[in-house]
Amino acid sequence: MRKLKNFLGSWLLVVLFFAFAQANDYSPVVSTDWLEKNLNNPNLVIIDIRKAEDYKANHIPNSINVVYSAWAIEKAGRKNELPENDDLQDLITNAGINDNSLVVIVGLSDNLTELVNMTRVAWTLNYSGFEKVSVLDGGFTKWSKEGKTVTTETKKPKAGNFKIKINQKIYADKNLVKNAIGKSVIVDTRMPEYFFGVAKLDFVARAGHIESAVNLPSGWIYTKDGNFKMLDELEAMAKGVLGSDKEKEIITYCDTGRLASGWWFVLSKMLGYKNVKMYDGSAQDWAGDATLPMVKYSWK
Amino acid sequence: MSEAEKKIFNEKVFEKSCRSCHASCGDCHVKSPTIGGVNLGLIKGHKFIRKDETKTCALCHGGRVYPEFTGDYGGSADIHYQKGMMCMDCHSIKEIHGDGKPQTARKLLEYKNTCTKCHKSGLEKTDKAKEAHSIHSEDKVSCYACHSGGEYRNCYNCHLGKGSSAKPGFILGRNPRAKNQLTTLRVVPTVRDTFASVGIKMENFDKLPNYWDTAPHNIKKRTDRTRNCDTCHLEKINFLKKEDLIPNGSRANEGLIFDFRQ
Repeated sequence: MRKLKNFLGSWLLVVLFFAFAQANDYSPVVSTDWLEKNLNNPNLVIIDIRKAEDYKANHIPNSINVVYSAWAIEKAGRKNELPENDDLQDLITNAGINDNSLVVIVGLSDNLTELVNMTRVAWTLNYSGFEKVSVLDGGFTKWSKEGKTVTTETKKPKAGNFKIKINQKIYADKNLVKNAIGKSVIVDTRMPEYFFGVAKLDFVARAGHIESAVNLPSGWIYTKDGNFKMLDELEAMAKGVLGSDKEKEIITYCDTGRLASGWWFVLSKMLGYKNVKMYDGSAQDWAGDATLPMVKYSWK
Repeated sequence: MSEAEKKIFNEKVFEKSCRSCHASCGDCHVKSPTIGGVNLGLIKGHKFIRKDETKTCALCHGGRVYPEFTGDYGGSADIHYQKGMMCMDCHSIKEIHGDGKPQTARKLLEYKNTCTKCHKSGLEKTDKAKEAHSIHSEDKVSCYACHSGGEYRNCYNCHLGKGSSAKPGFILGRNPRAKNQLTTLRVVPTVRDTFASVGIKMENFDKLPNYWDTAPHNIKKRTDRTRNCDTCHLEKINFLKKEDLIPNGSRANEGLIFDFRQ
């Protein structure tokens, strides 16, 4: 009985969350049903970040294609970096984003990388000063599985009028992280073996984590079907690892600044944490600096 | 190459190596190619696939061109891919299929694609772009030299007996086909004994360079070179230097080093 109550309670939260999207025009996560009902909203800009060939094969009606690799580029050997501001402005203008637009990011939900591609693009748009950006829960994968309408018709948007206003409040670089050790909560969003230092990716110079970091993997955000887990579960995870003070500074990081966008998104956009930054350079940048320690074989 | 060597080349090299890429209809539209001994079989059963660039083009051109284009090789996607364009939005059927006349080199095709077919000189949107293009006219600097967005795949040490190795690089130097033009170069890693095993001596090895003009498919509107003149004119970043030339390469390689004073 208690289990049933918990289950119903969780669903109520989710239902309320999506209902909010309909009532107030903006919610950080929108469902496939919500999007289906709002496809003809003139303020809606649906950005499909999948590969161009996948988009051409079929896509959500009225969506436009701006591939992920346009939003997160490789710069000076570092992966998933921000484009230069002028390029970012071009992307946003060409996507047809206006001051009053409501942007929905559509990607795939087949694996964790594809899932956090959506939150990374949301972070980039927030960094550009554009706030009303949502992620489609389950992405195109869910839309397609549900048999919702798809098309091969492409549309070229009219240039948008939104001018970027860089939002440094959500951006962390190496120096900011250095100064934050012992003062702010630094969150390693990689899987535990990477945090603990028994595994590392080839392009990350050293294994381990940043001193004082706690571990909250972005892989735990999603269900196995590629949807966001229920809000109360996400809230419980965040509280358990980070505490319930939603005012304190939190800095998320991973290997390149992609996975870390997952918890940045959940904490700041869904759970109301007020001061969440993402370290864009992440472990690739930090571990590449031999003067900075990496903590191995310790959970602290 | 002597007449006897040409005959050996045609029989033992071209047929066994070059011909594996020079395709007939079904090689592109029905079956996937054999690469490194691996074949993925038919594309879609016995169906003739008219156009699906991810297969009809990218299965062969997936080593360097296609991953550069989509951003999978590093950097970011080509601006044309970012705008949803695919291979045949630029490369016409005639360019791909030819017109039935034998050609000695791909680059000699009169109907091959060029940037300026769409991006007409003089129609730039900003004065800055107009000025930059008028100073760096195409006879002096190729479009790629400024607008190639980052490193592209270069292969080294071909036929040294150990197999070749590939790594990213960005090389600016004189175009071997038009020496007054600065352009992007890609290493063609032949060595002096590349064809020794079939009895071809390559006595004229030093007449042709190991670096050839290339069109990296990672085009950007803005790059380090378009943003800052000093990148080329002061710091000379990525310009081919004598000390960077491949070891024991052709003597013609030195002629591709670009010197601003000349």
